[in-house]
Amino acid sequence: MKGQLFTTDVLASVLIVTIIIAFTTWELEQVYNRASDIQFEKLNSLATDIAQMAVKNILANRTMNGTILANSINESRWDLLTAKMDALIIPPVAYEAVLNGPTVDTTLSEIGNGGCSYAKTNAAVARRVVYYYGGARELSIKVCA
Amino acid sequence: MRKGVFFTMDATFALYISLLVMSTLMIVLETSTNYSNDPTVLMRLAQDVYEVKSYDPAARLPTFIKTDADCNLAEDIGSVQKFTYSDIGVDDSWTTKAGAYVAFQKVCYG
Repeated sequence: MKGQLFTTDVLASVLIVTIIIAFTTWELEQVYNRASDIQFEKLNSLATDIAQMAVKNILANRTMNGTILANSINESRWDLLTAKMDALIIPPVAYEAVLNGPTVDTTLSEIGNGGCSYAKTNAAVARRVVYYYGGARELSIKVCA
Repeated sequence: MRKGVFFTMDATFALYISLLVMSTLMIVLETSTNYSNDPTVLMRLAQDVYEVKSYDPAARLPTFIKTDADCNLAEDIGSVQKFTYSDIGVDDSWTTKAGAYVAFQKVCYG
C-alpha cells in the first residue's frame, strides 16, 4: 500500500512539474512569436504603403497638364523614390526596391540601402504590377529588420 | 487509506485528461490565428492590373499573378469594379452604344 501511495505521489508531482515546464515554454514561445509577428506587421505595413505611394504618385508619369498616370512608371523619377525611402526608412531597418523585367530573372532597376541581404531576421515584400516601356512589369518593395 | 489512494489516482488521471483537452484546444486556437492573405493587397493588385490594361489591353502580366477565368478555382481572389465611359460600347442587346459601363477585374496569385 505504501508503495502504491509513493508511486501515485511521484506520478502526480511529475505531472505537475511537467505542466509547469510545458506552460512556461509555451508562454515564452508565444511571447517570442508575438514579438516577431508585431515586427512583421510593421514592416508589411511600411512596404505596402510605400509601394502604394510609389505606383500611384512618386514613380508615376505625368501628362503635359500634370495629370498623374497611375501605375505608369517613369524611370527618371526613380531617384525621387530613393530619396523618399531614405527619409522614411532609417537603419537598422533596410529596404530594396526592384523593378523586374518580363521575367522575374530580369532586373531593370534596383535601389536599396544594402542591408536586406544579410543579418536580418524579418522581412516583408509588397509586389505591384506596373506599366513600363510598353509592358506590364513587377515592382517589388522589400523592407527588412 | 484505500479510498484515499483511489481518490489520488482518479484526480491524477482527471488532471491528465484535462491537460490533453487543453493542449488540443490550444493547438486548434493557434492554427486558427494563422495569417491569411490580406484582401487589401489583392484588391490593390486588381486595381494595378486594371490600370495597366487601360494602357495596353494585351499586356502580358508578371507570372506571380493570374486574372479572370484563371482564378476560378483560386482560394484568395481580389477584385475591383469601375464605372467607365465608352463611346464604343456594347449594351445588353449587343448593339454598339455610347454610355457608362462597369469594368470588372479579378486577380489571384499565380
